Amino acid sequence: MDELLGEFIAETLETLEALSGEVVAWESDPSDRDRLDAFFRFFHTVKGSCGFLNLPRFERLSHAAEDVLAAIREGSRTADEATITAVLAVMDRIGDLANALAQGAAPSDEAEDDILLAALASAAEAFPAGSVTADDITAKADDQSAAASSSSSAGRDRGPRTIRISLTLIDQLMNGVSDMVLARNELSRKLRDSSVAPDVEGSFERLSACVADMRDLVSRSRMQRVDRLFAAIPRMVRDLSQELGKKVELILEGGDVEMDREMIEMVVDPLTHIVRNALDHGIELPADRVAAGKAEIGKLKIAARQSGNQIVIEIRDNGRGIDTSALVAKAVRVGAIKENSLPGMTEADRINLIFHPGLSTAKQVSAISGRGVGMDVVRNNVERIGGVVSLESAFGRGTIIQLRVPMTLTIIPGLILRCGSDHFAIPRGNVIELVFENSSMVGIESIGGAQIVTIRGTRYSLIDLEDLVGHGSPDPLATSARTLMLVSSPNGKPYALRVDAVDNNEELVIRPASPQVMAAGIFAGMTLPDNGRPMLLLDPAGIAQVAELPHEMEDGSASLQAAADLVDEHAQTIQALHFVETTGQHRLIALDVVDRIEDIPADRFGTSTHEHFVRLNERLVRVANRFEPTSSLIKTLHLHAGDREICYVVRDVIDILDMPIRPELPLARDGICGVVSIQEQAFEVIDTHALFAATENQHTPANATGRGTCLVAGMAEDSWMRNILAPLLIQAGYEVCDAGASAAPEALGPYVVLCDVERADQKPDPSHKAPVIRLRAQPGQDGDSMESSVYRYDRPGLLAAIDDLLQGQAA
Amino acid sequence: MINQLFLFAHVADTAIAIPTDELEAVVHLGEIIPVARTASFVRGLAALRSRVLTVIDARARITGDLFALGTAPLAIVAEIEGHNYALLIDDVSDICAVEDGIVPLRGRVSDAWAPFARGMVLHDGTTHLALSIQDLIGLHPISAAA
Repeated sequence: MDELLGEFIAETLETLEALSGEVVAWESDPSDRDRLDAFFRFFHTVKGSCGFLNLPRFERLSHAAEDVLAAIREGSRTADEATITAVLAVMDRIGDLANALAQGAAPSDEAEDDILLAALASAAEAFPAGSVTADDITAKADDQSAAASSSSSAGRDRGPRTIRISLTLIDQLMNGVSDMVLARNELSRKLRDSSVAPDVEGSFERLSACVADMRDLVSRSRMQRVDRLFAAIPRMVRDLSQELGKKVELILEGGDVEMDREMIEMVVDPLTHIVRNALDHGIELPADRVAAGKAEIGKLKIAARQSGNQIVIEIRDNGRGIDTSALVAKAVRVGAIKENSLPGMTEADRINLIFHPGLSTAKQVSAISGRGVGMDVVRNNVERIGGVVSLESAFGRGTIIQLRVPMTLTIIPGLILRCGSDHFAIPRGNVIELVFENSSMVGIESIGGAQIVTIRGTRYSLIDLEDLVGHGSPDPLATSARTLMLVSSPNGKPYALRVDAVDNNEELVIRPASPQVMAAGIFAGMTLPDNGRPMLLLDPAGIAQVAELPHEMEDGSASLQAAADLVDEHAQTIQALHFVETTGQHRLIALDVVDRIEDIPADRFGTSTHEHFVRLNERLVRVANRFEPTSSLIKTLHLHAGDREICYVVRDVIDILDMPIRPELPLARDGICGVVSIQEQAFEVIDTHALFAATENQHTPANATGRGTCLVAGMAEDSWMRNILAPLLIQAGYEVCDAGASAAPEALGPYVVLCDVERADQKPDPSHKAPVIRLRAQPGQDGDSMESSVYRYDRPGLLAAIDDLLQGQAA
Repeated sequence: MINQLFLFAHVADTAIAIPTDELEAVVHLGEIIPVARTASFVRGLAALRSRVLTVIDARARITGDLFALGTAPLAIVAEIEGHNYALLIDDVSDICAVEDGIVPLRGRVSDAWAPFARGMVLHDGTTHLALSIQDLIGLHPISAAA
């Protein structure tokens, strides 16, 4: 929270500084719409931010100023001198408060706010010579700033020391480091060509390591996890929903996606606005929800994911959606659209009216949102960073807003592929699978010009990258088989992309390509690998579009489909736990079988040759997978099915996802039942049946087929009998008794006596006529003895002999 | 008038002048990696140290003619709207200040040049067409009035 507060202050002061230049210009021309909007946005942003930072004074001031400016925007008020002065005084006060907050100084008297607000109000009532004159206000404000600056030397040096650096500087730093890497590579080539002394190479290695570290650090200075973006949301949702009397379940996903710091900063405001809108206008009151036949608790889901060249942040609520007819009516009323243009409007056009400045469907303006400023600010901010906002809504069922922002200067894992003499990169996250075209599970056919590839029974569209990049058809005489990449695209089904070869796997620093290059439509950015030859990053979605692949969702039905998604999201999916195997793979397991997740001390784990187990509350529970203990606490999943319990060791548990019931690629081997693709990521799904079946088999040894009692002679005195034989028999499923202790063995049902051939004291009483198995200590033939015997370590032979005798009795 | 610095060069055998505040450097480019599916005047990408430049062929942009490029072609480097460009030119003759700056056109320039000519610059007894890198890189369609 401190970090957020600090940022709010820094941001507010920065904006104030920028606006201070505009003040004079605005005063000279109060009708200047752009400046008016700039001031309006400032107050709106302050209001929005301080709402959840719990700064009521800021909120009161900014809300009042915003009201006045809104009135001016609507034309119901004129921006006379008194009004402007009052607004500016409020601005100064906000600056003073922010300064005081930053320095931990005591904020000025709150009562003085009232003077400012009164001035605003009196100006509003067109009494410029009201109780407080403009001069008064500025004088007050001057006092305040003087007081603030005098106290500014006080509370310095608190919190982690940070400075704000311009992004250009970081960019230059990044470029400098990249130059360094290239110079290093050149030097490395030259060193290779000319034989140098080993110590030179040593120094060079050290230099290389430093350069690599440097590069990491500089890249990191720009990257941040989306978590930071999400940090303020839970609190905000909680406060707002309480204030509004609504019940909301918030789901945040994808906090580990990394994003350019600048992008995060640019997205904070839009996201805040959208979340506020969703709570204020989207989610209904509990009673209304119940009346509409929905769950009482509304759902708000915010998910971030990387999609090729973009970061997609999706805000989904299952509230009341947007009433397009009300929106259109309002738009006509305020003159945003003309009535005669109505018939030509598509549903998408109607919904997009929400982005029109000055439109809002809320019946009442509230402190939370609803002045119609939100969505146009959102769009402005997002478009300024080259992003796109899209909105889908089903009236009565919910709204999905997607922010797509470029991931400029994002580092992504990429595959380097070759096509003719050119190399391209493709985001690894988009590649589901690589297969050779001559593989036995691949069939390629051509129907009416369309190329189709069948991989393990599923048909995909096939695109030749050569066709797209204009190399003409590949050389038919080329000997090596080419590679098919199964690529997922954000807006449809996966498709196969045919390339000459996949060469490499690298972390790539992606930079935006110039508009002339982006115009090609199939590139997402560019990168400069270490060899110094620029390389383009392919955009899987763009390729699908340029290749004119049939869309899975036709445009017209897209919003309907999305609306259906909102309702039926759970119908085709089950919940699955997303976890990381000890080997590092990301896999899913059906959530139903997971009883709980527990960190268990490593010393409770044990291993026998073929089995792993863990002690839990004095019980031994089987561990399903092998692992190398790496820390003192081992994260395990407790799986439960019927009366069986097993533990599954994992490295980490990530999240709970909705997983399609039917895997997209059914497999059935190695404990995996298939592969599903969720949000551009492919996961193997654990075959829980096989998992339990495997332990089931181990539980019942195959050799114990009969049931009965083994009377073991000499259990009391012979330690081999007691410690080695008896446990084996018990484990094999027999009852075991001491032959000496049991007077009437016939009462036990089928039974067999085991004794040592060598030991006279274990000789069974011949009068008993009991079935006896004699055990001998030596392998080899038993011919030299009068009676037949079994070698005592011949386990199958021994068990078979016991079975024989027991079944003989049962028959 | 202010003394304005111009770079004097030739494109398609025509003398041109470009205000130096628009450009960063004049360099010989290394390898140019062609980029598919782009306008013909976009010759590809080239690396200048760690920067990636989009290579624009000024001649192709103006006249529409594509000539084979020699080795290490000469280019003007400029950063426009956050992207780095290399503008291929035939040669550079001079950089110097011109007292009068850009003066209005005389005569009628051909259709190919008309959209780009912003006026004339007189230098060393010859007339140079004043061009803007902004126009040449083809980022925005040029308005007819330009």
